[in-house]
Amino acid sequence: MKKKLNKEFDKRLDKRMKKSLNKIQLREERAGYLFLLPSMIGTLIFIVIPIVMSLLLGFTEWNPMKGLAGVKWVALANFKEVISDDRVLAAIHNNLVYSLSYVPLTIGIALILAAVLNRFVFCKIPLRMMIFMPYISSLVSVATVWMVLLYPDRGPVNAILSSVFHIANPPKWFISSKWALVGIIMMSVWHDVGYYVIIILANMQGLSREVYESAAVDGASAVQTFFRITVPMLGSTIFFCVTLATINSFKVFDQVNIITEGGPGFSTTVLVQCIYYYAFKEYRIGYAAAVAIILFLIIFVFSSILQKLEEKLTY
Amino acid sequence: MKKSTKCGYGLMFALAASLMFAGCQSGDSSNGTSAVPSQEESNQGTSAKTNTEESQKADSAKAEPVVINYYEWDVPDEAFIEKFNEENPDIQVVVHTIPANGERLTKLDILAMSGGDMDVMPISDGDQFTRFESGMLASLDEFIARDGIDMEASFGKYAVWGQSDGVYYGIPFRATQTAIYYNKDMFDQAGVPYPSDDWTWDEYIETAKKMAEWGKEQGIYGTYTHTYANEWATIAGQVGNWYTEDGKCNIKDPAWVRALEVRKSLDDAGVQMPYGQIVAVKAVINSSFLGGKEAMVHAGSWLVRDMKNKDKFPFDFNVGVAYLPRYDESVEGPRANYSASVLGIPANSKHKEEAWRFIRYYVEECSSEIAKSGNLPTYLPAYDDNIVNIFVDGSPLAVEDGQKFFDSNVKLSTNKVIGNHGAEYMQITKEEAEQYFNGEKSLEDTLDTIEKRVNEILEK
Amino acid sequence: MKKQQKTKKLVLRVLVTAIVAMFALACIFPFLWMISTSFKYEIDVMEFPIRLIPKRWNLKNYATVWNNSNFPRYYLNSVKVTLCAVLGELCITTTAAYAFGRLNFRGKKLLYTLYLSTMMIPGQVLLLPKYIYFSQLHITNTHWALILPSFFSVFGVLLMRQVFAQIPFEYTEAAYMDGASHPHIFLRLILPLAKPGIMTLLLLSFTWSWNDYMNPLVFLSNETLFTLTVGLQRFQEDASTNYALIMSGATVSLIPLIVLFLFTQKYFIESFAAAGVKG
Repeated sequence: MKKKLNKEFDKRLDKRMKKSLNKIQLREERAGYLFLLPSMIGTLIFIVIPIVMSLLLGFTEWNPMKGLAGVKWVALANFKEVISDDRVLAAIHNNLVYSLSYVPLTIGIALILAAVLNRFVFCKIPLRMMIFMPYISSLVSVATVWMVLLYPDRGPVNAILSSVFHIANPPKWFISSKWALVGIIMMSVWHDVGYYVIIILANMQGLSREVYESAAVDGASAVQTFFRITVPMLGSTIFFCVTLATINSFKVFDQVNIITEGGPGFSTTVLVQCIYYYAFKEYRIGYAAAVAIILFLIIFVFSSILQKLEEKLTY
Repeated sequence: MKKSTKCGYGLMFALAASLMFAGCQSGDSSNGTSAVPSQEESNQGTSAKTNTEESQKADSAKAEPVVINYYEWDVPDEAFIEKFNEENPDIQVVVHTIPANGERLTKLDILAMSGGDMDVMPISDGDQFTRFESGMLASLDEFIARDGIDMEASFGKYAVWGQSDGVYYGIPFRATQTAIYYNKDMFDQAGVPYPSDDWTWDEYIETAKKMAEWGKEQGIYGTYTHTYANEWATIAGQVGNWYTEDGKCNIKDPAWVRALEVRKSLDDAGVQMPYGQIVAVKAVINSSFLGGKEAMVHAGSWLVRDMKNKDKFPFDFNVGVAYLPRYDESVEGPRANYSASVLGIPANSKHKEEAWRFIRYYVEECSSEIAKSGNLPTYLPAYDDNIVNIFVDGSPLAVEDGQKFFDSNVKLSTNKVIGNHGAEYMQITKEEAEQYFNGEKSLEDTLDTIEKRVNEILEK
Repeated sequence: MKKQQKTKKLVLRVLVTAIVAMFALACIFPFLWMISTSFKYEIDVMEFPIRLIPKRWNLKNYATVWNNSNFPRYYLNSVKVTLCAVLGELCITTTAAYAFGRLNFRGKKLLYTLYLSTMMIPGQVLLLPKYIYFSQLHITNTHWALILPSFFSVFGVLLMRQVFAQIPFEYTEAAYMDGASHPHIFLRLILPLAKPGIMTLLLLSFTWSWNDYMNPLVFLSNETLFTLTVGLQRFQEDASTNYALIMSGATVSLIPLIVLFLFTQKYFIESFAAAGVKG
């Protein structure tokens, strides 16, 4: 009898707990929406609406000179044309090569640099500042320096390649269709590393110091500490940076535009450049938007894969 | 607990509001200093650059002046615009200077396409034709007919730069005419005679080789051909045709083939800076030539402007000007390559009549202003001896050399593709020829690909 | 034995510092080029090989930049636009990031994906529709066209969400159990703990806003409203370059960024030290 009563009581308690939990959840949900509200309204007005406008144009042929009357719905005609457009196909290829090499290189280097810049080296702040410099210096200056470094005939890089490594025909870099993209990747990695170092460093500040200290007591080497502690603890930050770098790398434009303008031939043409070309050289706004949709889809696929991967690895 | 919630939100909103206010103020104050309210109402809510003096003038005229927005990257002298505003109290021209780099056209295009307030739009050097075709600009034929302007007599060879399919969309206002500039000091030292005024392409190549031979040790090239689209085609432009008679791609015209080969062979022989190197070191014509890196250069009349600017280009040698070489003996008379910039009225402009009046004033009255800035005016009736003096004044050029840019006997041709899908034609040619010059594609391959790609575009 | 280990570690640290320093030196090369270009004549700018010490010194560039343009005005405009944009962005993005990083609600994942997706559209395709749309909102040719969109920087939300999510939940649970409200937790606990992250966002968004070229070029027509980036490009001439003058201006315009960087990094070290004391 007493036992039964107890059970009854337990049940009631359980119910009450549940109810109060729901209340907490509800309160949290309401707070969530409220916290998000200002951002959502603004994002809708200033970001989402222009995007939707542009994307819809991908299904039209639009002569902007005639205003809204110049919009002609063509459904998927633009996309049919894209499939056989050499410029776009070359760009997709280049974009994939670029991103697949840029992202691991940049994040890898940034991670190592951030790890040593966080605790290990002397003169942390001046070194951080210097590594961040390319990111804030004018792109013209960055490009000029790289073009001179990679100058085919007498540039320092090729001088080293031929005198130290005895390479008979060093690459012609920016004027060779085989090497121009490599040169651009190298420059971009170097240009952006500082940016990711800063982001990773910011997230490293949250890592607990005790873990490192106990690792030191256990006699773990610096390399072990890096792979066993830093990388796993930064798991979600690394995924965040990889996602960010992937999105940004597919949108690459300025570096290419300033150095090679997509040449020689189509060897460094990228999608954003195609978009720019079609929109502002040929005035085919609709077609340019269609290319943008394709770019969007590619990025979306990659970031979805990354998200799935993160869920699998971190939970 | 409730209280603290309210408190927290209150704090945040106060913060946001104060920021909004700060932002608002910044926007307002900058508008306030620059715009006259009455104009703002009449002018689609955008602010226009005026000063109080001008607005007072407008008030005293009692009529609301119509604001004409004129965008430009190369305003020679704003005084002539003030003069126009003074003489035409019913119109207020506002100049907006924009950067003269690659994005300038993007800015103008966006304004023209979106119905932004632009009433007078400059377009230069072959960029105009795609814009004419796209309907970006209003037809000027009615205005021309009404005012009885004889385009041929007024603008001669420049007139075609404002035309598409027989309709005028633009009025030529300044032009670039090219010539071979040569470094007299270098020629003297090398003991090579100056270029003659009726030289041929072969003689030009010969001279360039001699000068390169002389300058070898000092790293001085014989001549310089830039990487602009179709720059290699300049001399061949005297005889070559871009289109076959049935309107197809004619890149296999012997003139173009020879031009491509000449550029490549001069590059390979070290007579001029190779194409790839120009790209790789971002060389520019004026710094290169005025920096004494080559004996000759093919450049536009704008090099005269740069020679006047000693702050940017301090150099101390004498410069001579020769006409462009003739393609071969079959071509007669002095030759030059040219292109012209035009002023047009965007189709979306709301004040076409007033814009037209300003264009006429600019083109017809301001020739000497244009010449002063080192550009060639296009309005032929304004040509006189004095204009040459104004043009060369401050540069090391002799008057007779400056005269060569104003010589009416010169036969003009262009390396630009004027015609069906001309801009795309040039783009394709650039993309493909580049690979030939860099030694990555054979001449045959290059020609075949250009032909194939251009014909695909033309068939659209 | 222990001493030996210590010296070994010291040697390693010095060695790593030297390697990083070499990389870092290479990183400031463009900056040195900017400074050296700002003291050159235009004619000497594009030279091969690069000459960091000018062949002939031109000390007039800075004066020319200062006198021949509305440089002070552009500078002021840049400061105004950037400060407004960044402060607004900090407020709005941290608030939204708190929801994404610390709270659970229905539709969170979908909304997050939506936010992320907006970053996948290249700005170039938006230029024209955005101009037309903004002129309907009557904000073209005002600083609003630059300030308002940056308030709602999606990158800011994502970065701050990442930073907030890193903060262990135990820190806030106790306060929550004590009945503290979400705004209270957000303002009193999360924001102070996230200082390095906030400083990073401040630095990065300041940099973007400050260096933005395309938006001011497209949205501003009135010269009195120009920001530095657009204003400096006015030295560019047809068929020519003017890197000497542009680099003088660009060098001067880098100063606030350098100062800001040093300011924010100081914060990093301090907060770290403070956390160490607590732990």
